[in-house]
Amino acid sequence: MKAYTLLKQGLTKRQIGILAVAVAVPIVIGFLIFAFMTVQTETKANDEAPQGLNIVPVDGQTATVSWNTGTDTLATVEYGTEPNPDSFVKFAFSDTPTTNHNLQIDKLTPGTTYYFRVRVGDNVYDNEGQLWSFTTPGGDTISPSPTPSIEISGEGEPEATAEGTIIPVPTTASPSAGLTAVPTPTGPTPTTNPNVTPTSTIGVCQSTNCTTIKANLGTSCTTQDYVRCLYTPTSTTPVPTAVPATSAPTPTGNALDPALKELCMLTFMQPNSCGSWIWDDIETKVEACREVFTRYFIQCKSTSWESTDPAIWYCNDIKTSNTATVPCSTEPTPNPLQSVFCRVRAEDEVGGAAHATAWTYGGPARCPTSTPTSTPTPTATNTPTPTPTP
Amino acid sequence: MRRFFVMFLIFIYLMPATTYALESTLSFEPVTQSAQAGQEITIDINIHSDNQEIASSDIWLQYPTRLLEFKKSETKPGSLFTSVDAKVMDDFIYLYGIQTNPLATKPTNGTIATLTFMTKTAGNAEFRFICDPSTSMSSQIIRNDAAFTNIINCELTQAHTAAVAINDGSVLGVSDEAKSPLTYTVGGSIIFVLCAFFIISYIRTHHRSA
Repeated sequence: MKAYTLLKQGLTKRQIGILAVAVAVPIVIGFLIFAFMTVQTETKANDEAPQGLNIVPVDGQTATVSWNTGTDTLATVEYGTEPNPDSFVKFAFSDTPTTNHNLQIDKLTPGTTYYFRVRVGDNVYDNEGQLWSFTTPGGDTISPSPTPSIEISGEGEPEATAEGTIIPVPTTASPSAGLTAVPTPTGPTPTTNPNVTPTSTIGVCQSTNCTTIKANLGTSCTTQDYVRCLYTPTSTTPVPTAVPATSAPTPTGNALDPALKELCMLTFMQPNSCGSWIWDDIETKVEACREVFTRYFIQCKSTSWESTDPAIWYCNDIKTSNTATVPCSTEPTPNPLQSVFCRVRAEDEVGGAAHATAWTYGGPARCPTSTPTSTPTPTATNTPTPTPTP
Repeated sequence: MRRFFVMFLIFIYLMPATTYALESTLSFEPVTQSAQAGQEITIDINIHSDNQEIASSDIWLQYPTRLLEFKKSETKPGSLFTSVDAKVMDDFIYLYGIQTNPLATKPTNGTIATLTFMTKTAGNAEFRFICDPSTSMSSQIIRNDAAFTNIINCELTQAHTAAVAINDGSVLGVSDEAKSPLTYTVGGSIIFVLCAFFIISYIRTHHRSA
């Protein structure tokens, strides 16, 4: 309002005119760009639309899908055994841009009906929401015909033909004659194909064991599941029933419950520099962890933990805080450009592997060139010095 | 008054660029390259989070296995995430990057990882991101917020492709560069800024002469 008043009172006619032009120019240019992109996209989509789609089962395990396009395109056939695109996790795609697509789908199960759609770039051609389908010969549905039969279904009467031609139009055309419409369900459908990767995130992906989720990344879990597990405050993490929340450490007792060790495992270890390391605080864990695990055991050396080469040790120490400075005590200082590898675990008052979580690894951290040169230990070996645990 | 007028003009012209910039995408680097069959090539997988704190990213890549062989052991993590790994899933590559320290998430712009491929035979190979939230195999960029929101812009991400021209003999040309909507936007923004500059210059010149 103030701006309007200022404009009304203070601007000359010439300035108002310039202002109007200034506002109009970006709008007009933006509109022209938008229109250009829209027309270009539609033209491109029309050229990329599959024409004369044809399905030929080669045998019970292989089928060929072919079609033509008006321009060279790369294309993908997404397929599965359920008439639900959400369950499509198998693909066949063209290697090089072409107008004559001929994709072979293999590793199929004999006697099984498959549903598919075609993707070209951002555009999906799914027969207007009604997926194409075919049934591989074999199993209980072996075709007596010398030519492998395809079961392509449409809105009309079923028509079995090996050379059934489909002319798909991405969004506007109805299914061609001879095809049976296979309605696409709106919700997810349970998948029975053993080849299909399970898409459900229920179960392992909602586990409180972050390590398990990480092991399933790319198959059933995503990093979203993992960071949700990793970042969520541990106060809400359920405590395993086998471990009493108030269980106190027993200095001379038996080994700790594996479930508790897994629950309390440190989730990260990170270098601020090659001489400064930090890991997650056991105090942020659930009460069962805080009661049992009271300290950390940290080790650092010059080679990776998989390496069997002789190493210089920079730390082999017990800590009560979740930070460490390397070298920890009398060990040598890492040389400039030296890589430092560290690992840490939480321990109870007894210590040792049976009374500690699994290792959490960090690094490597490369030392800067300005790090003071130290005298390396010439007789260092890969065997860590005795653990200063009781 | 004149100052307000000039500021208002600048605001009008810069507004489109600032609003469109709020997008998170993945991209390849380089966009085009050429190699001879039997030669190794590398390609960077980049992320642009536009000043948003990123917890992790899932990347699904499509590439022609007939032309390229993925060298998993030669995958080089970038400096953005503390945990990076790649898996071969049938004809696809699943790559992930995770910031394992919740306190260390930060705006993330740069390389997630550098992938290495061995070229097999002559042909034009294309890399594409798979990004379709309706499927389980979809690239994601997870923001560090309460809901761990997937903030990837699939339209822009899918527009970012990379092409490799593999030759049997001498190295020839390269493929066309993909034009993403971002290209048009950046170009449009530059035009806007130039227009603003000329208009403001005109006003100032006119004011002095008056």
